[in-house]
Amino acid sequence: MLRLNNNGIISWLLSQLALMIATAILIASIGSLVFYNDWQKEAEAKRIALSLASEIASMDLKTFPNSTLYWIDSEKANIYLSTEYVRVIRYDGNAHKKISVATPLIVKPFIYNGSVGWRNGDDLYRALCKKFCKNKDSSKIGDAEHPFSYDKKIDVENYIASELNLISKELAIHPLRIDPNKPLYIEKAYIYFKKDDSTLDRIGILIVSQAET
Amino acid sequence: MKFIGDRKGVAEEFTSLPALVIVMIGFAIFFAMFANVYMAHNEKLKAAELAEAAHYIALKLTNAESPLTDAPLLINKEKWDDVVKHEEILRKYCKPSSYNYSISISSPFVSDFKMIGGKAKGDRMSVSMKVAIKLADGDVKYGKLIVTVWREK
Repeated sequence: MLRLNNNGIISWLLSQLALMIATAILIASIGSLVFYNDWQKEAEAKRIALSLASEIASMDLKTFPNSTLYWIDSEKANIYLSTEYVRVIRYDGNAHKKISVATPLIVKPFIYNGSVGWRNGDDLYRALCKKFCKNKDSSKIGDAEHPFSYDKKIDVENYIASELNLISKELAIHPLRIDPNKPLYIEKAYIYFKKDDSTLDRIGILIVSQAET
Repeated sequence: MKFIGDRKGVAEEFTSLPALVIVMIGFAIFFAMFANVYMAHNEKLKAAELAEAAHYIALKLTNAESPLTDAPLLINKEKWDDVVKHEEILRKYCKPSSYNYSISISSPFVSDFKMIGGKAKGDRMSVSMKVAIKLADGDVKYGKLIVTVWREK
């Protein structure tokens, strides 16, 4: 019936209307990508997570005792760290308020959360002394100056593994929330064992904690 | 068919319909391109993650402390064969969380290096690193250590 009218005005109107709607949707889509840039925010969160994961992995590759301070360069995002993942969450999305990105850590670090783990290498050696020192005058054991005897290696490895297990469980439930105003302290420490021929064997420990200052 | 006979009506239809078609095609092309770029970006991110893990493993396995090496980048054939029999030595030394890996040696001089690690599953990434291979005292050849990494499900 539309096509049978005298001047085709309704048909014309419908075509124009469809054209306007399609154009409006197209312009709105382009506009939303430009102004509602959630994907950019997600990419930024991903970059933060990857950068931290990469820093932790590169510290683990050090073959000598080493430490570094790592500053998180974002105050808009909440960053959570567990032994398995770095999770970056921000709440300024447009389509969805919460933007969450998780990146797996290549290596499992010992993360200090205030109750489990060690703040740094010295803290580790003191904790080892509390556990293994028979001589109560000693304050540290396991560093290069105070190595374990080699026959203690399995006991120490088991202790370290059980601590890592404990830390993993604790942080899986309550991941460490990183304060962006303080740097992250990342240390590769070694526990030394003296063999019978006086040579030293060692195992590497990767420690991550929130620095005090 | 009065409409067809109406010159004004016909003229209007012929100007607006092609415009509508062009807009719709632009619409479809735009979204197809955007989806393509977004998917490519995601794939690149996944690949970058795997490449970083593979690179980490390659560096870890070729440093001086590795159970495969005598010195950095110097792989000892005897130690490699030991690790083939007792793979747990390698897993204890380098166990990346969330990832699994296999390693092999490619060299024009040596062909009897067995692959260490299981068969890759799903998306994977390989990196290679030039290494020296010590076959016996004074007999050192060159080759490539190939590390293949995939995500553990």
